[in-house]
Amino acid sequence: MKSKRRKSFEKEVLCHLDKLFGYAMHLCRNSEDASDLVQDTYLNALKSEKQYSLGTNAGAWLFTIMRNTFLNKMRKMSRKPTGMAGEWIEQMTRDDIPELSKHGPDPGVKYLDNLLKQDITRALDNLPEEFKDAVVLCDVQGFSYADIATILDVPIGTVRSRIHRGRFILRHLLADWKNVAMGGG
Amino acid sequence: MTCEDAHLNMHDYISGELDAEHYKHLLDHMDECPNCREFFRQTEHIQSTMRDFLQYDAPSELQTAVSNILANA
Repeated sequence: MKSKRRKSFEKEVLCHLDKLFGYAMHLCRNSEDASDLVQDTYLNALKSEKQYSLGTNAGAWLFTIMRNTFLNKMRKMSRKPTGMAGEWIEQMTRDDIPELSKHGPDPGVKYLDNLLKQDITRALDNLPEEFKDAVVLCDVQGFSYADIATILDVPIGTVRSRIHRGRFILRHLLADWKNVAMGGG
Repeated sequence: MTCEDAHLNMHDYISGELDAEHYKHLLDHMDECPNCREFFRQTEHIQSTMRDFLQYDAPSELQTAVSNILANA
Protein backbone atom coordinates (compact mmCIF):
# COMPACT_ATOMS: atom_id res chain seq x y z
CA MET A 1 0.00 0.00 0.00
CA LYS A 2 1.50 3.31 -1.08
CA SER A 3 1.74 6.14 1.39
CA LYS A 4 -0.06 9.40 0.74
CA ARG A 5 3.32 11.10 0.34
CA ARG A 6 4.44 8.58 -2.26
CA LYS A 7 1.24 9.03 -4.26
CA SER A 8 1.65 12.81 -4.21
CA PHE A 9 5.31 12.46 -5.14
CA GLU A 10 4.49 10.26 -8.14
CA LYS A 11 1.85 12.70 -9.32
CA GLU A 12 4.22 15.66 -9.05
CA VAL A 13 7.08 14.00 -10.92
CA LEU A 14 5.05 12.20 -13.56
CA CYS A 15 3.51 15.35 -15.01
CA HIS A 16 6.99 16.47 -16.19
CA LEU A 17 7.55 13.40 -18.35
CA ASP A 18 7.02 15.06 -21.75
CA LYS A 19 9.23 18.02 -20.87
CA LEU A 20 11.93 15.74 -19.51
CA PHE A 21 11.83 13.72 -22.71
CA GLY A 22 12.16 16.95 -24.71
CA TYR A 23 15.20 18.01 -22.71
CA ALA A 24 16.66 14.51 -23.01
CA MET A 25 16.22 14.71 -26.80
CA HIS A 26 18.13 17.97 -26.72
CA LEU A 27 20.94 16.41 -24.66
CA CYS A 28 21.15 13.01 -26.39
CA ARG A 29 19.92 13.86 -29.88
CA ASN A 30 18.27 10.49 -30.41
CA SER A 31 15.09 8.93 -29.06
CA GLU A 32 16.63 5.71 -27.72
CA ASP A 33 19.29 7.40 -25.57
CA ALA A 34 16.79 10.06 -24.53
CA SER A 35 14.36 7.39 -23.29
CA ASP A 36 17.17 5.71 -21.33
CA LEU A 37 18.15 9.05 -19.80
CA VAL A 38 14.56 9.76 -18.75
CA GLN A 39 14.31 6.37 -17.03
CA ASP A 40 17.66 6.87 -15.28
CA THR A 41 16.46 10.30 -14.17
CA TYR A 42 13.34 8.84 -12.56
CA LEU A 43 15.38 6.09 -10.91
CA ASN A 44 17.77 8.70 -9.47
CA ALA A 45 14.84 10.88 -8.42
CA LEU A 46 13.41 7.96 -6.47
CA LYS A 47 16.77 7.45 -4.75
CA SER A 48 16.73 11.13 -3.72
CA GLU A 49 13.02 11.27 -2.95
CA LYS A 50 13.58 12.31 0.66
CA GLN A 51 15.44 15.43 -0.50
CA TYR A 52 12.33 16.66 -2.31
CA SER A 53 9.68 18.66 -0.44
CA LEU A 54 6.23 18.06 -1.83
CA GLY A 55 4.60 21.03 -3.48
CA THR A 56 7.89 22.76 -4.30
CA ASN A 57 9.55 22.94 -7.71
CA ALA A 58 9.51 19.39 -9.05
CA GLY A 59 10.37 20.54 -12.58
CA ALA A 60 13.63 22.27 -11.66
CA TRP A 61 14.52 19.40 -9.31
CA LEU A 62 13.99 16.75 -12.00
CA PHE A 63 15.82 18.73 -14.68
CA THR A 64 18.78 19.15 -12.31
CA ILE A 65 18.82 15.39 -11.74
CA MET A 66 18.58 14.76 -15.48
CA ARG A 67 21.45 17.09 -16.28
CA ASN A 68 23.67 15.59 -13.57
CA THR A 69 22.77 12.08 -14.69
CA PHE A 70 23.67 12.99 -18.26
CA LEU A 71 26.97 14.65 -17.30
CA ASN A 72 27.96 11.68 -15.11
CA LYS A 73 27.25 9.36 -18.01
CA MET A 74 29.35 11.51 -20.32
CA ARG A 75 32.20 11.54 -17.81
CA LYS A 76 32.11 7.77 -17.58
CA MET A 77 32.24 7.57 -21.35
CA SER A 78 35.13 10.09 -21.22
CA ARG A 79 33.66 12.40 -23.75
CA LYS A 80 32.56 15.91 -23.17
CA PRO A 81 29.36 17.10 -24.77
CA THR A 82 30.42 19.63 -27.35
CA GLY A 83 28.78 21.81 -29.90
CA MET A 84 30.07 22.26 -33.42
CA ALA A 85 31.02 25.85 -32.81
CA GLY A 86 33.26 27.37 -35.44
CA GLU A 87 36.02 29.80 -34.70
CA TRP A 88 33.83 32.79 -35.38
CA ILE A 89 31.35 31.65 -32.74
CA GLU A 90 34.20 31.35 -30.27
CA GLN A 91 34.98 34.94 -31.07
CA MET A 92 31.37 36.05 -30.77
CA THR A 93 31.12 34.59 -27.30
CA ARG A 94 34.10 36.51 -25.96
CA ASP A 95 33.25 39.23 -23.48
CA ASP A 96 35.17 41.94 -25.26
CA ILE A 97 33.51 41.70 -28.64
CA PRO A 98 31.86 45.08 -29.01
CA GLU A 99 29.12 43.81 -31.35
CA LEU A 100 27.73 41.64 -28.60
CA SER A 101 27.12 44.51 -26.24
CA LYS A 102 26.12 47.00 -28.91
CA HIS A 103 23.48 44.87 -30.60
CA GLY A 104 23.27 47.42 -33.36
CA PRO A 105 20.49 47.26 -35.88
CA ASP A 106 20.99 44.84 -38.72
CA PRO A 107 18.55 45.79 -41.45
CA GLY A 108 20.14 43.19 -43.75
CA VAL A 109 18.30 40.42 -41.90
CA LYS A 110 15.24 39.92 -44.06
CA TYR A 111 14.45 36.24 -44.06
CA LEU A 112 13.88 35.31 -40.45
CA ASP A 113 10.10 35.03 -40.83
CA ASN A 114 10.30 31.80 -42.83
CA LEU A 115 11.98 29.49 -40.36
CA LEU A 116 11.79 25.72 -40.64
CA LYS A 117 12.29 23.12 -37.95
CA GLN A 118 15.53 22.04 -39.62
CA ASP A 119 16.83 25.64 -39.50
CA ILE A 120 16.16 25.87 -35.77
CA THR A 121 17.60 22.43 -35.03
CA ARG A 122 20.74 23.09 -37.06
CA ALA A 123 21.28 26.49 -35.47
CA LEU A 124 20.87 25.08 -31.97
CA ASP A 125 23.28 22.23 -32.78
CA ASN A 126 25.85 24.84 -33.72
CA LEU A 127 25.57 26.77 -30.48
CA PRO A 128 28.23 26.06 -27.84
CA GLU A 129 26.73 23.82 -25.15
CA GLU A 130 26.66 26.39 -22.37
CA PHE A 131 24.59 28.78 -24.49
CA LYS A 132 22.42 26.05 -25.95
CA ASP A 133 21.52 24.69 -22.51
CA ALA A 134 20.44 28.08 -21.24
CA VAL A 135 18.47 28.96 -24.38
CA VAL A 136 16.67 25.59 -24.51
CA LEU A 137 15.77 25.70 -20.81
CA CYS A 138 14.41 29.22 -21.17
CA ASP A 139 12.90 29.36 -24.64
CA VAL A 140 11.75 25.77 -25.13
CA GLN A 141 11.12 24.54 -21.59
CA GLY A 142 9.95 27.90 -20.22
CA PHE A 143 11.99 27.92 -17.00
CA SER A 144 12.70 31.14 -15.10
CA TYR A 145 16.25 32.48 -14.80
CA ALA A 146 16.26 31.36 -11.14
CA ASP A 147 15.26 27.80 -12.05
CA ILE A 148 17.85 27.65 -14.83
CA ALA A 149 20.51 28.88 -12.39
CA THR A 150 19.58 25.95 -10.12
CA ILE A 151 19.57 23.42 -12.96
CA LEU A 152 22.89 24.57 -14.44
CA ASP A 153 24.44 25.40 -11.06
CA VAL A 154 25.57 28.87 -12.13
CA PRO A 155 24.65 32.38 -10.91
CA ILE A 156 21.52 34.06 -12.32
CA GLY A 157 23.65 36.75 -13.97
CA THR A 158 25.47 34.06 -15.92
CA VAL A 159 22.16 32.54 -17.01
CA ARG A 160 20.93 35.90 -18.23
CA SER A 161 24.13 36.58 -20.11
CA ARG A 162 24.16 33.12 -21.71
CA ILE A 163 20.57 33.49 -22.86
CA HIS A 164 21.20 36.92 -24.36
CA ARG A 165 24.36 35.81 -26.11
CA GLY A 166 22.90 32.46 -27.14
CA ARG A 167 19.92 34.13 -28.79
CA PHE A 168 22.20 36.65 -30.43
CA ILE A 169 24.38 33.91 -31.97
CA LEU A 170 21.30 31.88 -32.93
CA ARG A 171 19.82 34.85 -34.71
CA HIS A 172 23.01 35.46 -36.67
CA LEU A 173 23.36 31.81 -37.62
CA LEU A 174 19.77 31.72 -38.86
CA ALA A 175 20.10 35.04 -40.64
CA ASP A 176 23.27 33.95 -42.45
CA TRP A 177 21.78 30.65 -43.60
CA LYS A 178 18.44 32.08 -44.61
CA ASN A 179 20.18 34.90 -46.42
CA VAL A 180 22.20 32.40 -48.46
CA ALA A 181 19.22 30.07 -48.98
CA MET A 182 17.00 32.92 -50.17
CA GLY A 183 19.71 34.31 -52.43
CA GLY A 184 20.19 37.50 -50.45
CA GLY A 185 23.41 39.41 -50.23
CA MET B 1 16.94 54.36 -23.07
CA THR B 2 19.71 53.39 -25.48
CA CYS B 3 19.29 50.65 -28.11
CA GLU B 4 21.73 48.55 -26.09
CA ASP B 5 19.55 48.81 -22.98
CA ALA B 6 16.46 48.16 -25.08
CA HIS B 7 17.94 44.91 -26.39
CA LEU B 8 18.79 43.72 -22.89
CA ASN B 9 15.26 44.53 -21.73
CA MET B 10 13.77 42.80 -24.77
CA HIS B 11 15.55 39.59 -23.92
CA ASP B 12 14.34 39.77 -20.33
CA TYR B 13 10.80 40.47 -21.54
CA ILE B 14 10.87 37.49 -23.91
CA SER B 15 12.14 35.38 -21.00
CA GLY B 16 9.22 36.60 -18.85
CA GLU B 17 11.62 38.36 -16.48
CA LEU B 18 11.01 42.06 -17.14
CA ASP B 19 9.18 44.17 -14.54
CA ALA B 20 6.37 46.57 -15.48
CA GLU B 21 8.44 49.73 -15.13
CA HIS B 22 11.22 48.56 -17.47
CA TYR B 23 8.60 47.20 -19.86
CA LYS B 24 7.03 50.64 -20.12
CA HIS B 25 10.44 52.20 -20.89
CA LEU B 26 11.02 49.52 -23.50
CA LEU B 27 7.69 50.25 -25.19
CA ASP B 28 8.47 53.98 -25.18
CA HIS B 29 11.82 53.30 -26.82
CA MET B 30 10.33 51.02 -29.47
CA ASP B 31 7.74 53.65 -30.35
CA GLU B 32 10.64 55.83 -31.39
CA CYS B 33 13.03 53.23 -32.82
CA PRO B 34 11.97 51.14 -35.85
CA ASN B 35 15.20 49.11 -35.78
CA CYS B 36 14.59 47.95 -32.21
CA ARG B 37 10.94 47.28 -33.05
CA GLU B 38 11.97 45.00 -35.89
CA PHE B 39 14.69 43.33 -33.80
CA PHE B 40 12.12 42.65 -31.09
CA ARG B 41 9.59 41.23 -33.55
CA GLN B 42 12.15 38.89 -35.09
CA THR B 43 13.64 37.77 -31.77
CA GLU B 44 10.20 37.00 -30.40
CA HIS B 45 9.37 35.14 -33.62
CA ILE B 46 12.52 32.98 -33.36
CA GLN B 47 11.69 32.14 -29.75
CA SER B 48 8.06 31.22 -30.39
CA THR B 49 9.03 29.18 -33.46
CA MET B 50 11.65 27.35 -31.42
CA ARG B 51 9.11 26.63 -28.68
CA ASP B 52 6.55 25.34 -31.20
CA PHE B 53 9.01 23.13 -33.09
CA LEU B 54 10.89 21.58 -30.21
CA GLN B 55 8.06 20.27 -28.06
CA TYR B 56 8.05 16.49 -27.68
CA ASP B 57 5.58 13.92 -26.40
CA ALA B 58 7.17 11.02 -24.55
CA PRO B 59 6.71 7.79 -26.57
CA SER B 60 4.08 5.43 -25.13
CA GLU B 61 6.75 2.78 -24.36
CA LEU B 62 8.58 5.34 -22.24
CA GLN B 63 5.40 6.33 -20.44
CA THR B 64 4.83 2.67 -19.58
CA ALA B 65 8.44 2.17 -18.49
CA VAL B 66 8.38 5.21 -16.20
CA SER B 67 5.02 4.20 -14.72
CA ASN B 68 6.52 0.78 -13.97
CA ILE B 69 9.61 2.35 -12.35
CA LEU B 70 7.39 4.39 -10.04
CA ALA B 71 4.97 1.51 -9.36
CA ASN B 72 7.73 -0.91 -8.43
CA ALA B 73 9.73 1.44 -6.23
